Amino acid sequence: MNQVFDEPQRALLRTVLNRIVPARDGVPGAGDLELGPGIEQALVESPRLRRLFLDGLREVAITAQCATGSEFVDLEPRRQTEVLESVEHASPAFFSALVEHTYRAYYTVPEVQRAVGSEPRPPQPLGYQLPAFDPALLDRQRQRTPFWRRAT
Amino acid sequence: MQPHWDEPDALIIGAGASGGAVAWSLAEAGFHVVCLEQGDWVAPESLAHRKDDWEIHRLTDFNPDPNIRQRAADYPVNNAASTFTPLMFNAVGGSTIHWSAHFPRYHPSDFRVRSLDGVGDDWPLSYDELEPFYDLSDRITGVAGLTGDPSQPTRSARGTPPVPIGRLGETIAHGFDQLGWHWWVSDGAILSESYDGRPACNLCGPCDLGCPTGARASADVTFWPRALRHGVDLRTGCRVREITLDESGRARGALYYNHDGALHEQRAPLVILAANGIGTPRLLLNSRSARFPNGLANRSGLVGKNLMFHPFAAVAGIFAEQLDGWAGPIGSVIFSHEFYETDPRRDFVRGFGLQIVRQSGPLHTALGGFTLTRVPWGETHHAVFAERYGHMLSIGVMGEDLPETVNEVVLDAELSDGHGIPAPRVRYRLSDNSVRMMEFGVARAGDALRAAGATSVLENNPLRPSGWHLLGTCRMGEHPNGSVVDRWGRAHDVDNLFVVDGSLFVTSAAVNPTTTIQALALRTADYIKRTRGRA
Repeated sequence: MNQVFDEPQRALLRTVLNRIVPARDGVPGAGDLELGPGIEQALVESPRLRRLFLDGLREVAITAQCATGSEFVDLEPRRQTEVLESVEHASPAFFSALVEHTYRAYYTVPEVQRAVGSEPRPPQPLGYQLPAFDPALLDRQRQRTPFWRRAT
Repeated sequence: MQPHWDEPDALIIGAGASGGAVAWSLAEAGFHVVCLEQGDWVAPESLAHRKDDWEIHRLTDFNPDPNIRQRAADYPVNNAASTFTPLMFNAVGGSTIHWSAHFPRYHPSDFRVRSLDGVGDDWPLSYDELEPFYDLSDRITGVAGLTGDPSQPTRSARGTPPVPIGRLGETIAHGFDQLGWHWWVSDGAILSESYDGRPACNLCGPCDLGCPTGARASADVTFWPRALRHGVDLRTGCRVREITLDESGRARGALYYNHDGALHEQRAPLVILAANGIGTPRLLLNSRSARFPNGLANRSGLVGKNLMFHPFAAVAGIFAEQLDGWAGPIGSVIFSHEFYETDPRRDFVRGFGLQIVRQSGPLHTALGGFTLTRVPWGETHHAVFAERYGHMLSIGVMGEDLPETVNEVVLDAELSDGHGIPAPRVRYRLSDNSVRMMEFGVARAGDALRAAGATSVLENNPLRPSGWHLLGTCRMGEHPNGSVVDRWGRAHDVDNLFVVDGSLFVTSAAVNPTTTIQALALRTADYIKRTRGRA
């Protein structure tokens, strides 16, 4: 795989992802689910996105340092969230892309799909089943006098 | 440039809904037809429906926005000055490849907007005149639905019973009933039973990603197989640069780039444009000559003007009950035309429809679903996601757009496609009437959702990525100074040049346009056959 990040940046991204989508009911957070490498691969294919993420992660690190004097990865989760809220406000384009790519990666993991009550399978070939439409539901509507305007 | 001069009887540009309809109708009558399509066939096995990451494709290579999708067949659209993002698909089947297959007809009043309400313009034809072609289009397309709807004239029997509406549909139907408002099952170009060799829909959901079974109609499975059986020469990967003229100022044919990038000229005594409401004016504006310095067939100055999309907003309700919204076609459930016709008690003219939209998968939910209201990140994420997933239903509020010359398609001075052809630039803003209409419509959608039991309501008005309907940019009319084409779709300025796509719409109505696009195309084909002794 082509690489975008160095190891400290990967550790930072992993911690950030755990705050974007935290752990839930036995399912790890997005960072601990090892979604970072997939996101990094997406950045390889898009110079614009790569620049956005490199600059954005740098901003996360700097904001943490300036606000707390500590590395982002060493902060308590509550403080990490505050730092991310600050970055979201200052760099909305980066943050929007970060959240979208996190969700993209997270909600395509079968373990997550099962956890949220979704069958971990694509729509085909099985499709779904619903009962046939009951025309009696329209009985009330059928009583209504036609109300379209006539025009010739 | 390589010559390609074997002359057919007719040359069609674009293989979407209108191009397919005209191609079939003419070929069936014995016309030798060539069709040039910049896209390719979409193979069912290439679609995302069997892939684990199927939801990702909605955001990438199957996004409805060509600027995001960026397939080889796509051309860029400068949409910076437009309220709505123009959406389209370039392939055999055109935008029916990714449509949600609503198949409503215009109401009779939609053809008489000026006479009835003093706005827009009347069409040079009536509902009654178009009805036989609606019926023909319905038969070939295969339409699920039910007759008896009191909001519009009686239609011919539908091809199959309605598509199931599920708990989601019944929930919102109850809301409409509580308010005493109209609702009816949607006419959908989706089969609930096998029809004409195509299977019944298995309710997999994401019609917007194409249909791998052919149960949901698209022109590549309806008109095109018939057209090809009658010998139409359909050439894919062929992007038309301009329409050429002969010495007398009649259309001679088209210059196009083929798969290999070589430039050809295809000549024909009859040229028919079916390239959608942005592609057709783009092509005409790029076909400049000494005779037509402002673009072909543009003596009126109206080529590219009067662009209409449909004002559109998304409103979603969150319910305590599980609605199973992922089961069933995403877009074609039920609708209400309670507010469709003009009511003088309101502060706007014309009206809107309310269309029920299903939910999709987990990723779609997290990214905000139809309203694009994302589930928040952070500690509240899982709780909010759980409230929404499987518990949401949405209403699309779609209003009538009226023609305004300030809304337009022009050629971009800098942006171009892969062949160096200038890209279209779209300028569009909502009128004051549309703004008032949509505010009212969004409020009514909220009323319906709450009456159905929604505990909270989300809204996005206007919904920017909703420019599915590309209309009005080569409008039809009786007078050459006030329209581009005549009542048959023939250019006033060039008598062997026809337009059959959404460009020729006079007004937009407040319904999805493909039903009417296909009916008008079949009507134009009928005219061509009659006037050439082949009817």
